[in-house]
Amino acid sequence: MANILEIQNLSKNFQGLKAVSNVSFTVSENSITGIIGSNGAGKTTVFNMISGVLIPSEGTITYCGNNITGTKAHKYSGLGIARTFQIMKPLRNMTVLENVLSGAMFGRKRISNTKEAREYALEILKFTDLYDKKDMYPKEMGTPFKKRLEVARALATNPRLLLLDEVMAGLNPTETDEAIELFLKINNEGITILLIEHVMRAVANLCEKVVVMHHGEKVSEGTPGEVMNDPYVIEIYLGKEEQ
Amino acid sequence: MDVGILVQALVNGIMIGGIYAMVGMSLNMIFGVMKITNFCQGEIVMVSMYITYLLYTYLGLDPFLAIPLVALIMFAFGAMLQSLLINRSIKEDGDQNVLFLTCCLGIFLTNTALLLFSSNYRTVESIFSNQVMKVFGMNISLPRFVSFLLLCLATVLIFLMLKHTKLGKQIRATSQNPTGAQVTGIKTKFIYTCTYGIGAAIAGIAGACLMSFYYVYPSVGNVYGTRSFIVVTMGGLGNVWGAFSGGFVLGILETVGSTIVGAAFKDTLVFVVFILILVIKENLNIKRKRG
Amino acid sequence: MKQKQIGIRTILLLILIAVLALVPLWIKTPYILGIFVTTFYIACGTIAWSILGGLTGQTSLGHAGFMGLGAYITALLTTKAGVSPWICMLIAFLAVGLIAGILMAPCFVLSGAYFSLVTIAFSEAFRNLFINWEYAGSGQGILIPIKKGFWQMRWVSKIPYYYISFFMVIIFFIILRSIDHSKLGFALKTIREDEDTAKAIGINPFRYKFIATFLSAGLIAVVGVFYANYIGYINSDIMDHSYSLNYVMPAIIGGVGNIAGPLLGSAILTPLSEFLSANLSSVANGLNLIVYAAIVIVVILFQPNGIMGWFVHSRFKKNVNKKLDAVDRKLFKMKQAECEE
Repeated sequence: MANILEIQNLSKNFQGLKAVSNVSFTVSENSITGIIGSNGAGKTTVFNMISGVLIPSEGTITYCGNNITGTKAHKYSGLGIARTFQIMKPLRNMTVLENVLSGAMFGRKRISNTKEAREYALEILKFTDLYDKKDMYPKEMGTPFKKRLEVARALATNPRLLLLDEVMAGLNPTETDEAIELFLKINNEGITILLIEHVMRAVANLCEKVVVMHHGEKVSEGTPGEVMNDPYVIEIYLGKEEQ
Repeated sequence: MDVGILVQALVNGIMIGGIYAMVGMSLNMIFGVMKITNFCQGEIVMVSMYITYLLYTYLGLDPFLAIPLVALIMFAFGAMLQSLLINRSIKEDGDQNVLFLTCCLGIFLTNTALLLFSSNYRTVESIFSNQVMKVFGMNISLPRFVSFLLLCLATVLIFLMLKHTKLGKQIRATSQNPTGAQVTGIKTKFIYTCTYGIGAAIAGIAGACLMSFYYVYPSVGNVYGTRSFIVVTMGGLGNVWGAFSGGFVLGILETVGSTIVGAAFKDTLVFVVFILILVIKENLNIKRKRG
Repeated sequence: MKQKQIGIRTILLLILIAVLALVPLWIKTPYILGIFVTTFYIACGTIAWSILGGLTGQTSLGHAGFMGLGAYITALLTTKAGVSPWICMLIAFLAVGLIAGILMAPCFVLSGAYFSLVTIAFSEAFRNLFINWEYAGSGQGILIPIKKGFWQMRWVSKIPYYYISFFMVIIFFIILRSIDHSKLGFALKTIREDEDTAKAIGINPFRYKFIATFLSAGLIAVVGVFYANYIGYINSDIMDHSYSLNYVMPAIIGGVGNIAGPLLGSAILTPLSEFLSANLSSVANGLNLIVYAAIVIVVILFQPNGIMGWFVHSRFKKNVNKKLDAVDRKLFKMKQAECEE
């Protein structure tokens, strides 16, 4: 399988503080890849660099063979990269349908006709099981639906690569299972997913490859099984065994 | 250009800058703690000027002697405004609401003054009125100079209050993290009310000083409202020292600028410089954040 | 899908328009007509403001400056070069739109209150320039002499102004409505709600803010052209930033962000303020504005989303909709019956 995304020697300094240092990994097409790590490990910083919110201090990001390092944030959805935010950012005074509609109008599809865009948005809402909530306002819905809405809006831009930033945080086990189901369904449509997650179970069930980060560095990479048996990863997560 | 004129302009700038700095600081206090931009700060200065005027005409109190009393009245006035009106309109999403509210409050206060005092210019006589001090060939108006000293003193006192008193510590804690402050047992609502009161009191001190050498009319607040914003944004919102130095920069810019471009275009110069500073600062900020 | 049909709502709207169009036949008092004209042009100004302030969420407090620029453009071009005010409307729209867009472009990075401050600074700077510009009459302002004729847009009677401003309200509202429903509208609203999200779904905030500023400032300049010819005299006072609030407060009362808000707000506030200033300012100077501001303050405190903001989520709307739908069904049935015959 070809690589849709290649990260090489990515580093980011915030005025002397090294948030990310020398991280390299690849995401192959049609896969689900996860990045895990404790708080402050630099996961979101990596994400922000991939989606253009931050410019890397060093290193390159290659997407579909093109170097996209430092491209402006609003150009990404045109390239086919969509993202969600860790802190949910629903468009408060717009209904669920309108939220998704604006994604449909400005993503890779660039549908100018309002009617066509509406139909496409409704399709996305059906796909993500939000159809019966289409006229609600985000504040009237619970967290799981808000998270789902974030995903639906990103999906409406018709991405090839979907970046999900802790979309399962704060969900109970049933809701997590539903979310996992949704992501598998999205992946089946041929969309590559790169996600940040805390919930181990979700990562183990979803990802083909996991990248473990700690203190801004990549410490391990491999299948979920391999990573979880990596002694260094265990040490980070559970602490060193007393000798 | 004659150096003497420039130096004179510089000195005048520092004097008037003291007033700007003071109003700016009062605005900054409110912004720093409550994170709201108060668009009626100029009108609060106006109110305090009228109070000084009333104290002078009815009680014969000299504006300089009236300062503590004016500050006290303004504290009560500010605390009342905050607890009755502004506190209710603070919402989580966006500051548009408070912005509109304070704008309307400004109109309300200006026109109340118009109703009560008509649009005539009113002045007050102080013990130092019309006295001029000559230092190194420069003319320094005595009331301005005394005001300047008083303002410096007030600034120092406010700093000491914030650093060392219990209330000051609580205010600083609330400004850094309201939730955290609440958890430790600080009554944040009370602190907000106090802060707004203190902000109004500082503006009151500035107003009383201003009254000693300037005249008051209902829309005088417009001048000081916009100026205080300029001061504060130059120095950085929430940064009290920034506001202090911003005030002097603005004062000097005005007086020195008006001797260079002419008094008529002084305002344009000030506004253009203000916009430039704001835009450049924000762009640098974005660049720093993005990397 | 619902088929488009002429329902009771359209009929009611047409009746309202027809009644308003016929008002000058009944009411001949210049004073009352004047109130209507003021309401109409304030409504136009508020609509123009709300493209930037309501849809895009960039609270401008300096629109009086742009309106003043438009007024000065017509005052200078008509009195000095004899250009027709109608052409001035077009010139003002394009020129002021571009000036505002280009001047404000660097400020689009600013958010919230900072943006508002910059708009105040711009309008005050314009005012300062025009006070001192001798060619434009300095502080005395410019008097536009009455030359009768359609082409000159100057009449003694208020009736022509009534129709012009009424027509402008309709055009402005159609513009606002079509922006609201278009792709542009979605871009603007997304930027209003969250700029990061807007970027993430491929909206270039800079570009759309420029478009919004261009339209908003350009349209309010057209209002300025109308104002100058209607009043016949302008000076730099119309650029004072307190005048900007005339176009903001109706939007607040009506509901910022809702397209009907500006119309509703100015329909309520302007007649009220005219009434107050006619009845109270003679008794006590300033009392009219005190009452006016107090009303707005009360609305902000108790109904922060304005009347439309309340209406959209209210049960009242559902009831009204139900009743209108019922009427619709009856009408529709009648029509069907007619067809079958």
